Amino acid sequence: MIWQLDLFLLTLVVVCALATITVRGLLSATIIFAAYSFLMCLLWAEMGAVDVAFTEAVVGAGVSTIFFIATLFRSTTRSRLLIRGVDDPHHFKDQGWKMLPLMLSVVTGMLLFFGMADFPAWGDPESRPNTHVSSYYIENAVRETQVPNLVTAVLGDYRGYDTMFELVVIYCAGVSVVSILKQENL
Amino acid sequence: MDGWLADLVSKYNYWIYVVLMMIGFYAMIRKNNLVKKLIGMNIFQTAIILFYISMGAKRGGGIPIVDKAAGLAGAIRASDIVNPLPHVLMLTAIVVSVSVTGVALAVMLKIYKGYGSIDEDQILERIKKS
Repeated sequence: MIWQLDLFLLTLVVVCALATITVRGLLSATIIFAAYSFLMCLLWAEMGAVDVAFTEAVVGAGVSTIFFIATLFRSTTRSRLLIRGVDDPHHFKDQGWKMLPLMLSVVTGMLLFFGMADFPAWGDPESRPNTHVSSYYIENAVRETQVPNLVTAVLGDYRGYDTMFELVVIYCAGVSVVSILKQENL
Repeated sequence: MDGWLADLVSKYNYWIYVVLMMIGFYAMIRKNNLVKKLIGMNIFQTAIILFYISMGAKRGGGIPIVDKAAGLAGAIRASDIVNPLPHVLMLTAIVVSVSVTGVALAVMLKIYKGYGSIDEDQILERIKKS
């Protein structure tokens, strides 16, 4: 990990996140979100999580964006967002309610900031998540499973059932998408 | 004050994760358009994934693909390789997140077919009318 690159990418990620929720066009929001996903994937590759990075590049930046664009293509990119001033839902028209979402997210964020004080410094090799059980996998996974890629070893061998039922999740999602879209009269 | 500043600098990855999560949460509650809400949900999810990956990072750690001969001989030190366990958990999370997005978009398409809009206030108005 290189902290200069990390900080640069993190800044870009935050800018992209802010841009994607504030931009008015829906198609542009989707495209900026794809850029956000790709920057996130670079960030993870930079932190050494290569498997997560390529999964995100394929699934997050690729498939998700295709889903979004396909949905917008079949429904509408026309939104009341494009008209200035109607970005607020009906029940937020009142000034008091308008501040509620912001207050809620800031309060949640503050609680998390507060909890973060107990965390070990970023990248500390002696921190608790990095010392207990994970060192066993790093030292013994190759001997026990013959797989040089440790993530694959844990994914396919130690946590094989987890991965198997992940496929059930994808299957259920596929079945429900098909059954929702096939239903004629809702 | 100095300790507080050192704390801020040494954990900046975690702070940024909280900021991203706040952005996603805000978009989920506040935005009128259903696509914007979904994008907010996705930002929320990627923020949590970022948090887990940050937890597994090690200063000077290599990627979790090791030399097989060294691994068989037991010559790998745990502090040289980043923690692979959060990576595995987050692979599952990414797949679940894209499944959720797919189902949500299908429901959204059905809402559009039924009410002719993907804006929350218009949908609510049309539900009240019918």
